[in-house]
Amino acid sequence: MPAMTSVALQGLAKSFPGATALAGIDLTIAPGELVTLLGPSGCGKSTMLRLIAGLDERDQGAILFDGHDISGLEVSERNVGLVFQRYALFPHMTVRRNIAFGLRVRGTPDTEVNSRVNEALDTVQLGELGERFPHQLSGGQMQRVALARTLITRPRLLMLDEPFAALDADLRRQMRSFVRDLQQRLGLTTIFVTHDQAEAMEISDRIAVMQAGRILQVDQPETIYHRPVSAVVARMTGEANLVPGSVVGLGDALGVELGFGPVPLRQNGFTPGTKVLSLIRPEAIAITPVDPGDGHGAIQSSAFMGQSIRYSITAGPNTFLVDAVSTRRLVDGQSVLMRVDPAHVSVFPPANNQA
Amino acid sequence: MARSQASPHAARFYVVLIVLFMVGPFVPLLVQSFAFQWDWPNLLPSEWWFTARDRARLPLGWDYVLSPYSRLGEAVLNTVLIGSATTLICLAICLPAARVLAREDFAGKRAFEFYLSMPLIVPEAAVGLALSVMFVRVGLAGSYAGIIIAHLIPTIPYMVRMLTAVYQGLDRGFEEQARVLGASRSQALRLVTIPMLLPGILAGCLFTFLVSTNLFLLTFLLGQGKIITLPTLLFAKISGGSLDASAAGIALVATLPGIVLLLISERYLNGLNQLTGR
Repeated sequence: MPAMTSVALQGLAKSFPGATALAGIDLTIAPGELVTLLGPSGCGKSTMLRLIAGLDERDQGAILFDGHDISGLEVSERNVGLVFQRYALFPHMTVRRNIAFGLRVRGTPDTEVNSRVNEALDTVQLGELGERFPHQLSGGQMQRVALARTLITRPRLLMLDEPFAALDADLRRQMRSFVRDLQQRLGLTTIFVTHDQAEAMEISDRIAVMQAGRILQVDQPETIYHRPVSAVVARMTGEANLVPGSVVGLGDALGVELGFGPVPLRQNGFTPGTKVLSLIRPEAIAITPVDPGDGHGAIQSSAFMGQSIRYSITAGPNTFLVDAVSTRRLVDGQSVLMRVDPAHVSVFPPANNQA
Repeated sequence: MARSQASPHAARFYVVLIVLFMVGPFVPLLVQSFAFQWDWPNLLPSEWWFTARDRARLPLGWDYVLSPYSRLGEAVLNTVLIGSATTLICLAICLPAARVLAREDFAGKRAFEFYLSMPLIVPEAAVGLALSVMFVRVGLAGSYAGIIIAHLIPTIPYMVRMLTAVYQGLDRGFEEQARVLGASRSQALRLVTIPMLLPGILAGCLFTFLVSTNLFLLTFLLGQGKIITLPTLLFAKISGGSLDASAAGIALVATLPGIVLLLISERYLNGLNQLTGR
């Protein structure tokens, strides 16, 4: 098992002609931790991996492995693992030779190469397929070969660039838990890149939400989801009701008007009258069917999602998405009472509202 | 589907047509190479070379072609030698050039690409005469080195173009992956890039070799009669205006390097493609 490595990026910046890819990234990754870079394409996620791997030259900043700057090292000397989205398996080599590649170029003796390749094939459960060529494999198998080929070199840092993008949904879920399992078992410090927030939530110790070459927030998935620092992060990390309103006085405390009655404010530092944007996740709103006229709002439409039903409900000037358990589907036009736990409401000051 | 049902006859017809078109011109050449006397309008020679053998004072037809007098062996050897050397040097020059042309952008790239095609535009005679004047002064005239340098001029444009296209078709990701896995630059080139480019490299080499073995004027001007190759031998033989049996024989032999090479590379490429499923 490789010694666990800590990784720190300090002020990492990179511009391409006419565009800033990374605008000063600071990120620390603990040994054995899996951090996901989540963001839309073009936000700088892949550039970050390429800088760490040494495939692109950084403009500024440092890349520290266990406190030592590696940014002066050649690509081949960094001992990182990078699995590309399209795997880049060498088409002229068998699975075995693909996996052995990293050891052969290091001049590892044949007997050791053989035993370690066998070990790697077992690890990714591809024992039978060693003599096949890449074009004879399925997408999931190619993915495993790419993983094995990287893991065999015992990288100090494993980087996965949208590794499941080419797989269908079912296989994707399977590979997600497989990779997470493996990563934890081997204690590999890992950076995982995706634009799929569900994937990020499931697999990560922490998520770094990125946009336009910056990290907007780094936190555990729960914090990112429930306590995003801005409306932008809220939108990028799942379905979100973002309701404009103002802060109001509620006796001694403060509240926020949502369109179905004011809700006590959890956060401090606001004054009454401030315009804010309130975040409520669809599943945080509870609805109860009532007689017409008694409710806060009416159901406009609904969509059956399997485990839940997503209602679109108009209340006052706002329209809310609400997820409710799917045992009983309410009809369109049904009047409903709406309730929300104040702990599940976050408000953002106006400065944060642009998105 | 209905079309492919009806097509076998048509397909066979076209195959026959193509074969006739390709092989047809060789038939008179073949007959001629065995002829002693073959006058218009006879369909076949009135006398064959082997019946006239005993009467002639000099070797005739294939006897001559295969005798030391014809210098055919020397010409074949020179042709293959010059062709191979030209091909290897051309590859060594063009592979790095193609890599840059395919992957980098630099000021004046388009102008440079146009400049690379110049040898195809300027007549061979002009290049050859200019070079022979220069080479006489620097002592390269009549040498293998001189001829090989001259052969590089019309072959580089083709090779660069073919290799650039091949390089453009190769995703950089493979080489980058190799580097990340710990391969040095030269290991990545040797173990990943070149094997993946191999079909294209072979096609480029084949083409270069064929062009080189067919170059007459440059070889003739710069060989100064000291170095003979198949084309110069053939031209010397037919420049009198008559195509006799021995000239036809030499012409036939001159087609051999190309055909042999084509067959070998065809088989090799097929094997390679089956291996990698391309």
